[in-house]
Amino acid sequence: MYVPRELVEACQRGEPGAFDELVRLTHRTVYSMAYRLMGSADDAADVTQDVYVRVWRGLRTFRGDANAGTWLYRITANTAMTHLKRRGRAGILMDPRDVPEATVSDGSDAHADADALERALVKLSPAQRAAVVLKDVYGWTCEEIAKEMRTTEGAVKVRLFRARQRLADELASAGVVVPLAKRKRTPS
Amino acid sequence: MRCEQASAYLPGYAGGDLRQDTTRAVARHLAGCTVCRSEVEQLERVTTGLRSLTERPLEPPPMLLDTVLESVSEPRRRLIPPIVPPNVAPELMRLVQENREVIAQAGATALVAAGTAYALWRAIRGRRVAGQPVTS
Repeated sequence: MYVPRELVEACQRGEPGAFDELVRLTHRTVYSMAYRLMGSADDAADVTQDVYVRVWRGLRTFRGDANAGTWLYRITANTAMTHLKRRGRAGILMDPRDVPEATVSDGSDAHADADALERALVKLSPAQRAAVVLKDVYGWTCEEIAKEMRTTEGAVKVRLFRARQRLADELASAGVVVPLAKRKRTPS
Repeated sequence: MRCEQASAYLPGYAGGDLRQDTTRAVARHLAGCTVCRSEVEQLERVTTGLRSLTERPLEPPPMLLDTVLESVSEPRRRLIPPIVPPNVAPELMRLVQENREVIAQAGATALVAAGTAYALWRAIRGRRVAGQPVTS
């Protein structure tokens, strides 16, 4: 996510309209990350609102030499984790049919994969989804994810590998790839 | 390495998350096993597909932008602006630079006055403690 440094500085100076522009520029990306972590449109909307309240409060301490996009991603992940903990206590189940449309789609195989993956992500457990989304979609390291999820790197890897396997199985059952169960496995 | 052992490592292999020695062992197995190779290809399709998602932002609900702007307007009213408003800091610095001597004199006078007041207070308090009436 690219956020011009000048825009963040304008927000820090309290220039009229600067913060609204920051929200307009980044809210789709923030919402998308929130949706992928939460697996629910309503929760993603709640997280997005909270993110910008936190961003406003954090502007005071944000260092100009840091990457504003990375900072925004971190706030989004952290806010989503807080909401997930709260929701975990409530025990709400997600519905994969509610996946929002992508803003970009050209009908190619890659996009068919992406659409199927968005739907498959919703079916993962929140912990598996967080691990695979942060690592494979947003490029975080296992160490960073472990810190964010307050767990060990080993636990993150277990969740990550299970999530990838489950996603591959989901793509197969959705007919996007050939199901492996139909092949005969031979030990070598 | 046999298929049963290799299959546990394939999701990590597909994402490049294994240690070098494990990666080499899995690669040797894959060179001779079409079944596991197919499985890795499928897993790589997953990791490649996931990487591409960042370029495909999802469409938020139509009212989300307005709701967010409204929700952040309340904390903005309640909170002090993040840092000193524009032009106040440089203007303040210029005034300090131009009036350094006056500020130093005012500071010294304030210090002397505070010292005198403290000394007087100590003297009066001392007499009260000793039981002497305070007279001018």
